[in-house]
Amino acid sequence: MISNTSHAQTLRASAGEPEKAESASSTSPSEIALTNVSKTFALGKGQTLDAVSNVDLNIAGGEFIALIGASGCGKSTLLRMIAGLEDPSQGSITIAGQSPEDCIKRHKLGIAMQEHGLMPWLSAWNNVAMPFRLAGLPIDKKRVDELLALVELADFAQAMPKQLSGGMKQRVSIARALVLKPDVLILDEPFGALDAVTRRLMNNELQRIWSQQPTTTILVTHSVEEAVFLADRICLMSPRPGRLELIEEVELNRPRGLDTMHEPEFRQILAKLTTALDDVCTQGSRQ
Amino acid sequence: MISTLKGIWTRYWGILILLAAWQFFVSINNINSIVAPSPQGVVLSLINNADYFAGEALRTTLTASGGLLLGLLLGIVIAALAWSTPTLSGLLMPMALLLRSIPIVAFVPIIVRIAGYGTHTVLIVTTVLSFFPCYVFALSGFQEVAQVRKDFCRSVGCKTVGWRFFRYVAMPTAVPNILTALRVLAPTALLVALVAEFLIGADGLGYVMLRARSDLEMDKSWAAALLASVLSVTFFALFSWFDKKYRSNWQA
Repeated sequence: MISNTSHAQTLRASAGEPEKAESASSTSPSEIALTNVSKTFALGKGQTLDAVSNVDLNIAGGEFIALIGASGCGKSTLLRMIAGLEDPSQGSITIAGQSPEDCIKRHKLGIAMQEHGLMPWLSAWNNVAMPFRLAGLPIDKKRVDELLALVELADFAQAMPKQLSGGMKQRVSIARALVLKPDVLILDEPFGALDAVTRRLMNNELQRIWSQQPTTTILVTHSVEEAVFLADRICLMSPRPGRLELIEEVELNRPRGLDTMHEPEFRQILAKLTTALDDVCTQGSRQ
Repeated sequence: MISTLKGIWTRYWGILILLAAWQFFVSINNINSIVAPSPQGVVLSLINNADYFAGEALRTTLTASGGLLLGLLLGIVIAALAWSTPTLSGLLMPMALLLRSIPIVAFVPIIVRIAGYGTHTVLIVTTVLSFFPCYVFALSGFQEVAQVRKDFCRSVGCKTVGWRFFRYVAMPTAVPNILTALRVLAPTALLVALVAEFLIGADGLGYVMLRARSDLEMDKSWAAALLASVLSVTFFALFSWFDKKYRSNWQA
């Protein structure tokens, strides 16, 4: 258990308590509801692995949520379930009242991962245009140009991925995720492979992009700093099987800039969450 | 220019030593040209019959390239079918394996009985023997799409089976594999065409070797062999260059 969680906006999400205290009241088109979601993987020879256990969470439309927790705690599994790439073993996930699969069919979901997954044989422009091709839609050239401009890569439209830096590739990947105007943006450690300085700059970029294209966003990250900087709410997951241990609201004004990280309030939330994360992880290792 | 020559010399001086030793051995022992011609004799034969050799070499090259390309096309089409329908792959793989495991010397007479004596039979043999490696390389290429790319495709509503995924993702992913298949197969296709010409008696360098040997014109036979190996190396170099040129665009 976590001892220092007396903050008013902090609550424990636990099994068997379906009532949700989050104030997700407005029914925006991209509201996401997770009800009692669990995931168990079969390892073979009758062995199973509980990756995610009894997660209840409501995400309001336009909200930016960060999922943090020790590695292997089921954050990515939870994210993959929301993205419709994995089915929950138990419980249900709805996006605007429909299943994630329906959301995908309507092209209302965008994902960007730690591995950028760009097509190396295509230019940056063609990579951003790829969702149109794959979805069988006519290519909206203006939209592709617009997105490349948004991630400040208009000059690199014809560059091949191998000619771009790691940060640039991630920006192309984010542009690609946003090109179909998704209602939900799923980010799995998009900057995990970048160096610390680039990562901070990319966070600043993402914050800017997000404020220009407000989209319900769920970010999985190892970096508490990144989570505090970007998110409206931060969900801390316990080690396997992943449960929601703590939900923290980040009441920092937007737009946030690099100097936000020096504000005492930022430092305070960061310290609190870092302690909570350490607590949860040491608890996990003692079990 | 001088540095290029120097580079060639440092890499290939062994060949010159071999040629010198060959010439020396033949001259010293006064060996009859029916047993072993001298390098000089072989080169002279090449020069004196330049038109003849060029024509036959061109014929073999065209047949080999034609067979290679047909085999490649067939391999890609059948691999695409196997990729789209796993049941079909279960049927095709044993058939392809069977075709490949028949030795060419056993295979050629069978095809000749069916197709007749002629260059078209050489083309068929080259096609059939090129098909299998192309099929294997292409199929494994189609199946090599990284998980992160599959996830991305699914996230925009494109199923990882079906035509759109194949056209935009699986097919381009297989390109480096197909380039490898071409590079490895090009010299083999030439060799297969030569052997088929030799066995069938169809026009081309293979037949030149066969006829020169029966006429006891060893210098001509050796010249044909030399030309064949030069062609084979050229084929390999050409497709290696092609491979290198296009592969770089597949590195992320």
